[in-house]
Amino acid sequence: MNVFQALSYAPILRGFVALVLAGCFFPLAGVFILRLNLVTLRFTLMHAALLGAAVGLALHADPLLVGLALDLVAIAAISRVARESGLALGYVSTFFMVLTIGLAFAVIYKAGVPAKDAFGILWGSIYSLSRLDLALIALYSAAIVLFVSLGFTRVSAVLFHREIAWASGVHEAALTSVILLFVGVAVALLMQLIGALLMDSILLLPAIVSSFRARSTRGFFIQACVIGAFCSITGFFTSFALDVPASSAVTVIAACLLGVGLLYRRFSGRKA
Amino acid sequence: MGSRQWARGRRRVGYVHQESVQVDFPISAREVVEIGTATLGLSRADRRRRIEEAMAAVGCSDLQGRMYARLSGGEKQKLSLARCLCQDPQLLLLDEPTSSLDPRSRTELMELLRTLNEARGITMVMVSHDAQVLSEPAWEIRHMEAGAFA
Repeated sequence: MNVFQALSYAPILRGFVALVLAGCFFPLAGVFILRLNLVTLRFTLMHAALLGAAVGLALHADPLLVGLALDLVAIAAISRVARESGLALGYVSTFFMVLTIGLAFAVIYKAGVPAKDAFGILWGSIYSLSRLDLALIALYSAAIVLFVSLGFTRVSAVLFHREIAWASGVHEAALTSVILLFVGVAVALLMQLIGALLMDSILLLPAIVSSFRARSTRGFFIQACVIGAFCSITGFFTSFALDVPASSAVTVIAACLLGVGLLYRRFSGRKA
Repeated sequence: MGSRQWARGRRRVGYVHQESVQVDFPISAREVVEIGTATLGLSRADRRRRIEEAMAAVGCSDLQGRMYARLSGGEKQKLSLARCLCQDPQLLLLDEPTSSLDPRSRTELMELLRTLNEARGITMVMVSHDAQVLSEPAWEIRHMEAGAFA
């Protein structure tokens, strides 16, 4: 069966469309993570989603939706605590990261949830997506594109310098909360799509490679999307050609691009 | 004062940071100036015109496509001024704007501030420890000690 015959099957077509959408638009959230130094927050959200999966399985509910809900709760709690306490986002994220993973293991043990089912969220599977999953990914893609394109100047102000954004009349606290929300939803959706362990290939690596070449913030966003789209589409077709999982093919291609980007940076002398 | 009034008030007050902002991500000089138009609700054409006028007023028109991270401290401070000018400010707050500049850039910046003050009538409040800056006759000087004017 070749790739085009495979695409006539609904689960595979859904997986392909979801992968292309994620590749094209989720790197926008990667730019936020990279610029606002939210790598710790990303790990916290992965752990919160794992807790959500455990709770969902214990309650016989959709693990993705419960994980998504817990990610939103974690985002709200982290941004509130960081704002009220004046503590750095990294410290607050670390507290919630440890708390959620501890609670996840407690729920898995107490509720008798099979650990392999709960930890299944670490692997993800693009071919097991439901129509609802695909609809959520499409909705998220549209929302983040509109957010970045319509609010570009305000968003770039917050990414540039929060104090200067505030002084320019931008509601930087509210905008930062929205940015954190977009990061949280991206993490939850990508865990279902390609798993926690491989999500960097779509979320972060395109943004990192883009940062090596781009000369403007507009270019940064656009190049991250183009690189993400390239990785996801070529990864999908490569997975069929070499008979390997799509998520690992996407990840290897993204890693190779990062290697090329690092060489470019090394030999072009580009520092920033 | 409500948050909306605060935000509206901030639009008419320009703020120049103490040191040029250090960034390690791609942003162009033009995009930094564009931040000044973020909340003005201008059309695309008006925004473009205002950015170009502000950059011309501080003598930075040739920097538009350059990466901010690769500019000198003096150029970055001029861009900060251009960003503020986009807001058409009534008041300009300058927090030790010359502290990280070499003598030549400092002189250029002070001349630029004087020109803007004369041409646009913008009131400027500057904090400085720089004796040479404070010796300028145009400034009315107030000494501050322990958080209060002496």
